[in-house]
Amino acid sequence: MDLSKSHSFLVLQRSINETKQEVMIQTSLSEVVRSWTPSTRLSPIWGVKEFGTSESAACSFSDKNTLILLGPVHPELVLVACSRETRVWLSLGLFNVIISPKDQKERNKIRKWAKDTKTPLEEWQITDGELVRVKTSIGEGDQGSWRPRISEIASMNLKAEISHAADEYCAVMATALARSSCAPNVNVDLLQVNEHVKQKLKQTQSGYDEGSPYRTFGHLLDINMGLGRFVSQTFSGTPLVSETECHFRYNSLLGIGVATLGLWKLRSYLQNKLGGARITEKFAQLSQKPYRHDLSSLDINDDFWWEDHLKDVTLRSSADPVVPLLSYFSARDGFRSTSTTISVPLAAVSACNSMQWSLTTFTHEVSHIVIHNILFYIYPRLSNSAQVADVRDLVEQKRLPRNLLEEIQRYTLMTIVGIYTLRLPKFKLTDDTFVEILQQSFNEVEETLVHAFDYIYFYGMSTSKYVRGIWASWGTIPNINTRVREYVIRTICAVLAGNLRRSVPEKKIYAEDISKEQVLVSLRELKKEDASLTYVSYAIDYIEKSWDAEIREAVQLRRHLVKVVHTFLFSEDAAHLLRQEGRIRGKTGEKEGYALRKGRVEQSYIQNPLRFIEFYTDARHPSSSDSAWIYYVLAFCIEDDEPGTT
Amino acid sequence: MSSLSVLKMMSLEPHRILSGILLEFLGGRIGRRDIERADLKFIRTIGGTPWEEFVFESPEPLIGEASSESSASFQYVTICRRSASRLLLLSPNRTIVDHLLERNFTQVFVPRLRQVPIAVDELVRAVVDKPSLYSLTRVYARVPAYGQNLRSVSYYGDDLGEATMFREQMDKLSFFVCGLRNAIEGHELIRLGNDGTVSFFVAQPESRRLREVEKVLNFLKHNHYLDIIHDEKREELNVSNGERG
Repeated sequence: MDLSKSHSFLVLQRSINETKQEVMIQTSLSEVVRSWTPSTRLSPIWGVKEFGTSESAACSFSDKNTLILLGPVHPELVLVACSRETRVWLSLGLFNVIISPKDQKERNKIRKWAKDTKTPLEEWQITDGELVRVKTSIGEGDQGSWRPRISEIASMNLKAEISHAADEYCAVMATALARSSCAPNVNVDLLQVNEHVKQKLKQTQSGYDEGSPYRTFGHLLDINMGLGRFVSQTFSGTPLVSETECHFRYNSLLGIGVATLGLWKLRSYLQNKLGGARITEKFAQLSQKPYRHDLSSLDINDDFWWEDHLKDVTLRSSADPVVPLLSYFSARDGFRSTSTTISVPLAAVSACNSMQWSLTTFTHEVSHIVIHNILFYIYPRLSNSAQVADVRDLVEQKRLPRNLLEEIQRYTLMTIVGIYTLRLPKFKLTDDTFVEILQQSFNEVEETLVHAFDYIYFYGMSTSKYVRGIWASWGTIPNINTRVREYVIRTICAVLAGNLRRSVPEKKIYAEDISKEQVLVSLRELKKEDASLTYVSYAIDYIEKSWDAEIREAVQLRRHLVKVVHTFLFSEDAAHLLRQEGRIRGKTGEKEGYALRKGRVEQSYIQNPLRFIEFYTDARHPSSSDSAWIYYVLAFCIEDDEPGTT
Repeated sequence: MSSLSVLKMMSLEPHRILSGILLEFLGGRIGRRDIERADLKFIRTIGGTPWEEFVFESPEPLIGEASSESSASFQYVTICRRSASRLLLLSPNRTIVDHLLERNFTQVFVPRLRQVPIAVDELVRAVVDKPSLYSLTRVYARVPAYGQNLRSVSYYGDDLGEATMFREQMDKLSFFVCGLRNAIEGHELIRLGNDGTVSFFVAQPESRRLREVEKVLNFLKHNHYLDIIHDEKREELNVSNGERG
């Protein structure tokens, strides 16, 4: 099914005198606006070449008509009930297939197909543009077994500070679960979110919140906000469509359920693979390995730097989810992650095919969560003065590390102190100044580690893809020029991860210089491709002029942070899991790619959504059609992990 | 051109590599008439096998031939093996297969024929773990863990699974093309790609080689290397499998 390059709009509105509901297809937003009423709702729909709808055409549904809305379903599956005379459109809502059957026989066939496959359906009888009758049939999702679980939370005796947020949570989650019967897979994940919340609240009840409930309160606020958006975006436009309006006005009729399902699948994949790799827990278990080397003086060519230290770490119990359980689109939050939610800019709904709004940035946010958890084992708890003093002793080498984890901690914190006390010869490290440095450094250190982690795991150490990806996405940040300095340093540091051994001091060849040149090559290519990216020109200029005087030293100082990521956070097994894709084809040496054609919705499957977005989200210009296609693949075409276990 | 000379030209020539793709029609069984509706002319059933030879007549050259006044059209041999809703479509030139798929077959099959992935990775591991009828003659594999630093590797030999070095590296590899030979004798019998591509060398007698290939395909089918996931999905959907044409 070849999607049309441009979309039309399916519109439902009450007429001015509000006596009847009108249905129409309009070819442009300006056409819709000309007849806008207080109740107007619309959603973009894409025609399909094989079904005569790829050319945008207005339709007022004169005479008697039937419009069948069904989904969520891979559109090709329903085609067995259609003919060449059927008219078909696709939408981004959970009712993703819109069919105008050629006659009553075909209508019955489609109904039967929906019934047999338990696909939710809504049938609109339209006479001379007026919606005269609506019939619905919903699938067999969970019809209410969730109620006791929400009720359990609603009846918890919670502290006053969080009880209101918990009440709100119960109401939003109940709405989500009640409406998710048309998307059973989501239902299962929502129940996992609920379990997570229940555990958090129980901890609060038991006093495991360090006397302050506000941490849990914050979690609940994040979840309530994410869940509220998720419900509105996903389950609007489900039966009855006329009663479930989406607050996202451009998609107010049918919502963006396919896009949120796609995002949900991407999140879920990361949760399975990255969560399964359990990097943070394995890193913590390095405390079980002996301290053998002073990392500060250990040559980079020593085998110790190139061992897979996480490989033979064994873990016992199961772990909490690593990746946030709730994903949603948000115009305000953009790309943002908390421990429980992760948001993607709303612009990505219609522009995720472009490198500016590419979903690859999702991995950067997830990397933040991993690194944030790792830093928990590096930074002492600043409120615990005994711990601060003990770690300061470690950093000042007043005592030896007791294990490998402590040596990594010492090495990292020593690097941080070095960065922040540069050119301060009279600086004296006390508990107070130590704490000050740790507080000041946290965000920057986290970013440096995140970039290296993202580069190694998710960009597969491809400098061109990484530089192009992150620098194009930064174009959407207001006042980007003021941040160029820090972004340049982070970028070169990340690329340094691929060049750590590439130094021959006696010949004055240094890894930092090579990394800088590699970044410059990629930035120049990006500039050549799009001269309007002025901040890229500014970055090139800054590197060329300030490398020797400023940047080189900053990168050199951070080199040790990069080494920590490269050696102690990289696991071959985890990288294999995260990057493996059995559906990429092409002979050795040839360009890799999928057997997919952009814009063609077909039953061709992928296994790894991360690799898929890596291939298909780097266009120069946004395209709503190509973006819709990407969400269709993510929502409907990801194979389950184990063959034969669907 | 007389009909006799046309037939002679269209016959499957020996010593040619046939390459193509394994396809599936989600709308049900594929009949010979479906192929003919796509403007392919049935020529013969090959040597008592279920394999069929068709000819596709194109008004324009498809593989870079020079057109001359005498040739009003261009004819291309196409070999098909139909089995229920699946079709193995082959030609001495892969371009013909791609042309047919993109142009002619879209006029007949709605939804489009889809490529049937072959579980090459699982196949390679199984052939190595439990060697039986076939040996590995070649593999192309990705190396996911190292990103761009080391993308892919290939191995060639008469029986890769017997090489310790190969077995030791397997955990790090993700196989996407493999070649198989009969463990008892002979050269490579067939080459398979994870995207459903199939190719093999046809020697005389052609029917013998086609039977050998048929055996491999049956082996793949019965051991569920041909997209089992979607077999199950299709059954769930209870799609009608009525004979077409």
